[in-house]
Amino acid sequence: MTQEHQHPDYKYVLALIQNEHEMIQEIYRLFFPKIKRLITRNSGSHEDAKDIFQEALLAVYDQAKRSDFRISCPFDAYLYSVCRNLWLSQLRKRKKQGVTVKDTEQSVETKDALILAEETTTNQSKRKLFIEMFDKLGESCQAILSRNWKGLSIKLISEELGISYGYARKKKSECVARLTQLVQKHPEYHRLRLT
Amino acid sequence: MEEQELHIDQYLSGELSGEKLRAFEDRLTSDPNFAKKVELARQINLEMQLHFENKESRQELANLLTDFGNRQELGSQEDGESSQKILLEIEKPKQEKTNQKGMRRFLHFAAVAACAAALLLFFRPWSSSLSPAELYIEQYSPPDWQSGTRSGEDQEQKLLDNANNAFQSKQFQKAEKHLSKYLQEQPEDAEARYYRAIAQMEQGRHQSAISDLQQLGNGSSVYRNDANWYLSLCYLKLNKKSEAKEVLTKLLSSEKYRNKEIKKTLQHLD
Repeated sequence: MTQEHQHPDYKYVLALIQNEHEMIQEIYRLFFPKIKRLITRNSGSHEDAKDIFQEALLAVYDQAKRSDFRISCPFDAYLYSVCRNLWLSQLRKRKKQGVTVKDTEQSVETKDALILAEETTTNQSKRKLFIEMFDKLGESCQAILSRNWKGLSIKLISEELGISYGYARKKKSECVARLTQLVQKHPEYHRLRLT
Repeated sequence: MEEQELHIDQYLSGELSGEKLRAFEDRLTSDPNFAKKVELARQINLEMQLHFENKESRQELANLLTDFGNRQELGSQEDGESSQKILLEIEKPKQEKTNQKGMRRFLHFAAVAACAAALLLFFRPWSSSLSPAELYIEQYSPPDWQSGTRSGEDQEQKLLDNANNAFQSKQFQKAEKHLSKYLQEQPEDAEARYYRAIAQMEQGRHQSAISDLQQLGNGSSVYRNDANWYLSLCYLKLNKKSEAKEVLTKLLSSEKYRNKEIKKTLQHLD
C-alpha cells in the first residue's frame, strides 16, 4: 500500500513502524491524555491507561505490518477505538459482567475508525491465541516452525538442525497440524469465529 | 493422515499441482470441516509469519513504549495532568533501512524457488531410519519442574526457589546459575543436579550436561532412570551413537522404564 492511498495521519503509523522516537513522543503528547481519561473514568487506573495505550500502539504496529493495511480516518479516532476495544475486553476478563465503556470524547470515533479498530483488535487476539498454542508445542516443532516462519527454507532448516530434508518437511506439516488442532480445541477459537 | 497433513502444507506453500491439486480442491468444496482446517492453517501461517518476521523490531518498539510509558508515570506523579508537558531525552533512532533487508529476502526466496523444483525431484517423503539428530528431535521433551516445599537453610531455599521460577519461565541460563550456586552448598541434592543438567540441555550445552547426568545415572536417587534417559539423548544430539546405545540397552535391561520409547530408539540405532 503506497502512502498516497493513506490518510495524512499515516505519519503516526509510519513512526511506529520506523521506530521514530520524536514522533512517538508526539503520539504520547497528543493522544495519551484522552486515553487516560477514557480508562480512568471507566474503572481503570493510571497504570491501566499506560498499559492499554502501549498495547494499542503495538496492535496498530502489527496491523500496519500487514500488506493490505490502509488508514482512511484520523489516527486519533482509530487509536481511541482500539483502546476502547482493548479496555472493554480487559474489563470482561476481570469478570465484570455486562460491562460497558462510557465514551469520554465526543464525536471522536468514525465508522471507518470503528471497522479498522475492530479488525485490529480481532487480529491481535487471534495472534495471541496462536502464539500461546505455539508455546505449547514441543521444542522440535518450535525449532522447525519458527525458522520456517522467519523465512528459512526447509532445506536450510534441515541443514541447520542436522536432519534430512524429507524428515524436516514431514515434521513441519505434522507440527502445523498439531498447532491447528490445539487452536481448534481452545474455547477462544469459537469466540473469535476464526473459520 | 500424514499424507493429508503434508498435502495441506504443500497446498498452502503453492507446491501442490496436477491431479493432487484438483483432488485437494474438490475436497475443499465438498468437505466443510476439511475446508475449515485448511483455512485455519492458512491463518496460522500468515499470522505467525508476520509475528516471527517482525519479532525483533516489535520488541524494540515495545521497549521504547515502556520507556515512554514510565516517563508518563513520572510526569503524572510530579504534576497531576502534566503528561502533556513531559520533556523527554531523545536518542536519535538508528534507522536500519529495509531496502537491503528486502533485497536479501527477495534473493533468498528466488534461490529457494529455483531450488524447489530440483529438490522435489529428490524428495523422499521420509526415510524409515532416523538419524541420531532426528531421533533426538523425536524423543526429547523437557520435564516439568514442579515447585514444591523443601526444607533447608533460608538462603539455600531462596536459591532453589529462584532456580525453579527461572526454569518454569524458561530462563535456563538463570536457572543454571542459581542451581550451580546451590549445588556448591548441597552437592548431594539429586533434584538440583538433574534440573541443572536439563537447563544445560535447553541451552544446547549437551556436553556440559553429560557429567551431571552420568553422576545421577550411576547413583541411586529417584532421578537415576530419568538421568540415563536424558544422557542417551545428549549422546544422540552429539552424534555418539554407540554411547547412546550402551546407555539405552542398560536402561532397558534393568528397569521397566520408557520401554516403548527405548526400543523404538534402539531399532533406529541398529
